Amino acid sequence: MTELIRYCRGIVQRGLKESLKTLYYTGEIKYGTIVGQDSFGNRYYENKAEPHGRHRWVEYGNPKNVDASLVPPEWHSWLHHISDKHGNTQDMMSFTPTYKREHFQNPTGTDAAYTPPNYLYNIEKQKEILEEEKK
Amino acid sequence: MASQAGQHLSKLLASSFKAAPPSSVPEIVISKLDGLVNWARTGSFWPMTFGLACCAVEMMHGYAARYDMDRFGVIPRASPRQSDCIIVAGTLTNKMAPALRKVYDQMPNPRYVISMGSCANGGGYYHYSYSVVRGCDRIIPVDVYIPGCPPTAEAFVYGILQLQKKIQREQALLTWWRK
Repeated sequence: MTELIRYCRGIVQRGLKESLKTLYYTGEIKYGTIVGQDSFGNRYYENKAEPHGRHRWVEYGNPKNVDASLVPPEWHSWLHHISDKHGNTQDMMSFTPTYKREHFQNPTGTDAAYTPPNYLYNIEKQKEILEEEKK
Repeated sequence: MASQAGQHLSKLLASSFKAAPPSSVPEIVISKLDGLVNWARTGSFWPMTFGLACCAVEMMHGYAARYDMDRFGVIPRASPRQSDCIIVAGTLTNKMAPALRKVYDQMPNPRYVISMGSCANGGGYYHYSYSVVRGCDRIIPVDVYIPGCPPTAEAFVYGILQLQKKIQREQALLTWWRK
């Protein structure tokens, strides 16, 4: 019964179309207060009524591309219960040292993945070899 | 790029991860079949547990209630003949190496290998030991390396998900058709 009420509240929060989408991709409809949203479009939720350890969660902006490395460092500590300061609070956002670069998803398995410069399968090197062969 | 202008990058470079998109009607049908096969493989992924050291404890955490790999269809099997993948968790010693190779040879195709922890990745702490294999990729081909000493259960779950992504990129039937 409580499970049904939980589902209904989740549907009320999202609307029917969005809840069907969430149910299809995540297999679950949860409800909670939206704490914030980051630059990737990931939405962060919190609901203290959930069992402990499941009361903070993220719903990814693109549900077809789900990867834990999509969570930027501002939100990481909040999501993993390291800190109560979430990613939109001022002291998380103002931490911008000069060496900080844009956060990106783990590039493993894409052409952006790092390979040593002289490695046989380094894509940049392969492109260079192709260019040379044409000349 | 004059003569090869129309070709996809993956046809030019063996190292590109981008798959060439299907171009004709039979290719589209076959790539959908590939998707079905990949979906079935990722949905019931049975690993052969090859727990050798402390990494095995973290692997057990991954299977237990909190991280619950069963929800991804990951059920540890005790027999290599029933498993899709082998997780080498821990230090691979010279004495264990032939056993690992035998277990790997007994697995049916398609088979995948996850190397878990520093010791399995490259010897780790025991790299200069006289009795330790410097990485299990000297014995069997590895698909996913999970770093850490030992990796957390979360890292283990992430490694499994990376392997699932790798399987989803496969185009076994399409490659066969194009050949």
